[in-house]
Amino acid sequence: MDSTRIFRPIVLPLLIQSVFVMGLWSSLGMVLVETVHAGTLEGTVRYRGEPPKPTLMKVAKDQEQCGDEVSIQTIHIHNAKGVLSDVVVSVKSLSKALEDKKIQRPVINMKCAFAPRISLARLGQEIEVRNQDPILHNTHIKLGKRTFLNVAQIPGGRPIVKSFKRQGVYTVRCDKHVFMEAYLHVFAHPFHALTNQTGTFRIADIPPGKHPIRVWHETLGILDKIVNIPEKGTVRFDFIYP
Amino acid sequence: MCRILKYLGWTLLILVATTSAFGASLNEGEEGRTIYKRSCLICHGASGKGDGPAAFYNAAFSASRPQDFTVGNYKFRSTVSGSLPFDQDLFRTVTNGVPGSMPSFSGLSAEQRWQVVAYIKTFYSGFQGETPEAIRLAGAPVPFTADSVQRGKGLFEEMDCHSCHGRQARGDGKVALAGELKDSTGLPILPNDLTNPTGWKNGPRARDVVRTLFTGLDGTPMPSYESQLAGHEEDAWHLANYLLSLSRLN
Repeated sequence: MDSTRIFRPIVLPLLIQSVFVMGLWSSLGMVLVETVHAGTLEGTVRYRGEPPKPTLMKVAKDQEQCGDEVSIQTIHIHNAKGVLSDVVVSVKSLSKALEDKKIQRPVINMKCAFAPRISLARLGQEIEVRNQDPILHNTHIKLGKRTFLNVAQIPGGRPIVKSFKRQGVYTVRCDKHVFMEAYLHVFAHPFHALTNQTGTFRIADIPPGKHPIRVWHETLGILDKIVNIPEKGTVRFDFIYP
Repeated sequence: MCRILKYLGWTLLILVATTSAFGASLNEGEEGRTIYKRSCLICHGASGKGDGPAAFYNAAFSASRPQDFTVGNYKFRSTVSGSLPFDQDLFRTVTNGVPGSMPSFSGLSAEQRWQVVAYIKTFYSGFQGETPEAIRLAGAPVPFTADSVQRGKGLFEEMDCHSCHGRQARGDGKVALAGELKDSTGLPILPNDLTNPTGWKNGPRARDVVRTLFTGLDGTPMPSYESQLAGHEEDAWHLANYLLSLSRLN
């Protein structure tokens, strides 16, 4: 068979299409990752100084379940060194296809709070919203100003499942109980981590090179650093608030 | 030579077809823009952000302000929570208006209303790639009877509607009175007074009320009850009958 007869109608358009797609990704500031050489980033996030006092909020409705007042402390320090949990550390501007779309990220209305308060997910994964309280909640999730999901959940009501189609930081609130709040970070890649009670994080298989690293805390804000990831091995980087 | 002429002929034909299609859609867009500038801009603003010259006088410090078309939050839809509306939803709102907030534009021809719908969609890029997802409005309407109204009254309590709308559905529930309800821009917002016969923003018929219960009102605290009503949709019709009995419209 004449090879040009295959090349022209099939191979040529495919080539043009791949060039176009690559160009599109580059213009969006994203880098598609093919992991051959990869390094690991690990470190600790700390808070310097005395943490502020918790915020007290009065409860307008359902006091028998939620109490008359709710104390909210978002800065969770776990020892004298000031190690901080619930901080999201992520590599910016990378993209990697999701392997397992079946994983569901639960957000549970429980004891007049959302559990977990901070959670991480990938594009294409699903969120499952449940209510375990004996009172009505509405789970109102937004990305920026736009509503992603606003659903009423009566006691014992059925769970609601929806998949993420946009990356970003989603806020989760209950309009009926304004003190209920949570955050969901949705990424286009797996290079992210949440600090644990030792304040540590570990992100493996990062492609080598200089990468912008973002550190996010719900009230302390954002820290951005450039970190050079080696071709092999581990690089350590600590972050300190404020 | 013959082959070259054939290719040239096809190229010319495609060029003419695409140019005329583009020209037609350009004219449509131009028409929509002209109507928007004449009829909508005063409230919704030149860039569609809901910040037209009259917007400040409508709602300076509280909701609901004119719709911000650049965000993708639409209250009046027949789609699931978080989804964009169908074109027909936008057309319905342009045609009927929003009682208490926006006039009806049924004075425009249907063609003009479709043109302005097409123009409004240009303010938000999500309309290019997202497919609206319809609500599953199953279940036949339940006739307006005393029994149905009574059943709806029980559901109003059971589903905790009174937290926001109040025991008498006048928009004065505990959460509302605490001043805790906010819209997507952070402005204070009050629940609708459901006893006001002219206050049905999404339409005054039972099916309009049922649709609102299923879709919720995106951009406001009013949630969707779709999944909670799934499997016993007739409850939505009982609730609608009760609510409409309060304003005696049915």
